[in-house]
Amino acid sequence: MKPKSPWHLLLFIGISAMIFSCKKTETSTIEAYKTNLQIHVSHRVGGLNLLYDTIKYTNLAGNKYSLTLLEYYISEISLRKEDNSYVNCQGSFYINPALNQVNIQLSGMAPGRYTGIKFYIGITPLNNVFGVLEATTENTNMQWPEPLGGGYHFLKMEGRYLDSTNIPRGFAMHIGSNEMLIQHQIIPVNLEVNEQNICFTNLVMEVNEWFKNPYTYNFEKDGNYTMAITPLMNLLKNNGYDVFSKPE
Amino acid sequence: MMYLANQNKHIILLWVAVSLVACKANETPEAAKTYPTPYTLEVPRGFPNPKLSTTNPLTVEGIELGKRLYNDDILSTNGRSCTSCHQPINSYSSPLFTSWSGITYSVPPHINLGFKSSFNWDGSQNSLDTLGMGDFEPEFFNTDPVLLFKRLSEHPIYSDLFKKAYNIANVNDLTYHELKKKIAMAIAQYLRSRVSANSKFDQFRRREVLLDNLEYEGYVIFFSEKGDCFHCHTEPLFTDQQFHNNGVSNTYTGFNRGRFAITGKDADMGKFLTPTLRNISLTAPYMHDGRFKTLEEVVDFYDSGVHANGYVDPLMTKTNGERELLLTPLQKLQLIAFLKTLTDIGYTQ
Ligand code: HEC
Ligand code: HEC
Repeated sequence: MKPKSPWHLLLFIGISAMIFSCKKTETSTIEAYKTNLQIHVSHRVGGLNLLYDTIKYTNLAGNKYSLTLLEYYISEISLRKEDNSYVNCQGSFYINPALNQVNIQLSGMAPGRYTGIKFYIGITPLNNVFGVLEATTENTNMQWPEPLGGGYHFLKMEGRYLDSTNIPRGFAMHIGSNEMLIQHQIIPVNLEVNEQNICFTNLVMEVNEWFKNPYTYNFEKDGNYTMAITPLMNLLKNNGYDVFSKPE
Repeated sequence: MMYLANQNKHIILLWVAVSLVACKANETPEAAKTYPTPYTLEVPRGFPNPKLSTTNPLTVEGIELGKRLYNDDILSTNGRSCTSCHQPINSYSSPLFTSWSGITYSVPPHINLGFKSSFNWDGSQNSLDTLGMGDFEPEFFNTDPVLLFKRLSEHPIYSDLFKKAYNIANVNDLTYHELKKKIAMAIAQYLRSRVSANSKFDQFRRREVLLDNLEYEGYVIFFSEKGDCFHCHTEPLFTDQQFHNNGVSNTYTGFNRGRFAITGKDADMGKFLTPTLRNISLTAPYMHDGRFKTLEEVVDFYDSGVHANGYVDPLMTKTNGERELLLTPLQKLQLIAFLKTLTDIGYTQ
C-alpha cells in the first residue's frame, strides 16, 4: 500500500481558495450575501463524454483524432440578472478534466434569478503576466514564456490525428497572449440563487466546436502546432466563442 | 568592592531575589524543551508549494538525523551509503547503475525533491517517505538487521537524534521494518529541506546578473517554439512533473517501456517522468538509460533524432508534422550554453 500523498490535500485547499466572490457592476457597495453557485463543467467530443487516448473522434474537416490533454482557464464570469444588469465575478479558474478539476465555485452574488452566464476563455490582461497566478504545478505548467510575451497559456489541447496516409501524428492546439483572449457568447440559464442552498448548474464544452464555425480547421492542411503562430491561434480563437453550452 | 548605602543593599538583595526567580523561570522552559523542533522550509519565490508530509513533518532534529544517515555507510555492510550512488559532485547522482537484473539506469539527481510527487524514471514511487526503504536490500546496502540495530543503538549521536526526532528511547524497541521506515522518513526530511535555487539562471531571474549573448540566445530558443523545451521542462523546477514520451526509443522492451511498465496502459508506452534540467551539466550521461554521453548528443537528438512513431508526445511534432528543430550549429551551442546556466554549484558543496 502506498500512502496517499499530501498532494490531494493541497489540491483541495487550492480549490477551496479559488472560491471568488461576485460584485454587481455599477454599484460601489459590496454586498456580502451568503449565496453560493457551483458550476460543473463537463467535456464532450461529438456528443460523447471525453475519453482520452483513443483516436475515435472526427472533426468537421474529417480528421480522425484523439485527445491526450485538455486544460484551460475560465475567467471573469458574469451573471446576467433579469433586468439585464450583470454581476461580475473576479478571478480565474483552471479546468482540467483529467485531474477532475471541473468545478467552479462562486459566492456572494445577490439572491434572485439569473438568466445568463458569460466569461472569458483564458486569463484577462491584468493577470496575464508571468508569475502573477499562484505558483501551483498547474499554473506553472500553463506559463507562456517571457520570450513569447509572458503570461499563461489560455488553452492547451493536445492529441493525435490520422494523416492522409493513416499514420498517427501529434497535434498541439495552444492559445495564449492577450490578443487571443476569447470572449465566450452569453449562455442562457435559469438559476434561482438564494442564501439557503448552494445553487448548482452545469456547462458542457463540445471539443469539436473548436474546429468549426466559422472556420473548418484541418490539422493536416492548416497546421498541427499553433504555439505562438498568430494566424493559427486566431482561427481557434474565432471558433472558440461558442464551444460551451448549457446541457438540456 | 563598591560601597553601598544601607537601603540600597536591600534593593540589591531584592534584585538578586528577583533574578533568581527569573533564572528559574527562564530555566523551566529550557528543561521542558520539547523535541522535535519544527522546521520551516524557505520556499524560493516562484516555486510551487512543497509537497510536505503531514505524517512526517519537517523538524530540525529529523533533518539532522536524515543528513547523517544519508551520508553514512552505517546502514550497509558493503561500505555503501546513499551518496555512493547519489554523489554530491554530480548533483547527488552518478553516471550509471546496473541492477542485478541487468537494467542500466542513469542515476537521477537529488535536487528539489520536496517539490516532486512521483519518483524514479517511471514514477514507480509516490512517497519520498518510504522510498529509501528499498535500499536495505542485498542489491543496494545488503544491510544486516542485527548489525544495524547494534551500531545505531551504541552510537551516542544517533541514539540522541532518534530520541529527539522521533521520540524513540531505544531503537532496539523497534521492529526492523519500523526502523527502516524511520530511517527513510528522516532521510526524506533531509531531502525535502534541500532546495536549489541559486543557479546563474536563478540569479538572472532575480535580476542579479545578466546572461551573456550565447546564453541569452539559448534561453530564447529554450523558451520559444524554436526549441520548445519549456512545455515539458517547465520553470522553475524545469520539469512539469508529467510523463512524456520524448521519442528517444523506437521500439519498446524492458526499461524503454517506461511508465507502461507501471500502469500497463498502452498510452503510457515509452513515457518517462520529465527529469529536471537543474544541474544538468553535472549529471551526464543522459536519459533514463544514460544513452547520451553529452549535452551535445542530447541537443542533436532533439534537433533531428526524435523517433516519429505513434507513441511520441504530440508536443514533439512541430509545424506540419515536422519533427526536426532545424537548429544551426550556432543555435545548438547557444542552447547548450543556456542549459549550463542551470548549474547551482553551491548546492553540491
Ligand atoms: C547502488 C546505487 C544506489 C544507492 C546506494 C541508492 N540509490 Fe537512490 N537511486 C538509484 C537509482 C538507479 C535510481 C533510479 C531508479 C529508477 O528510476 O527506477 C535511484 C532513485 C532514487 C530516488 C528518486 C529520485 C527522483 O527524482 O525520482 C530517490 C529519492 C533515491 N534514489 C533516494 C536514495 C536514498 C535515500 C538512498 C540511501 C538510502 C539511495 N537512494 C541509495 C541508485 C541508488
Ligand atoms: C514532450 C516533452 C519534452 C520536451 C518538449 C523536451 N523534453 Fe527533454 N526530456 C523529456 C523526457 C520525458 C525526458 C526523459 C526521457 C528518458 O529518460 O528517456 C527528457 C530528458 C531530457 C534530458 C536528459 C535529462 C537527464 O537527466 O538525463 C535533457 C538534457 C533534455 N531532456 C533537454 C531538453 C531540451 C534541450 C529540450 C528542447 C530542445 C527538451 N528537452 C524538450 C521531455 C521533454
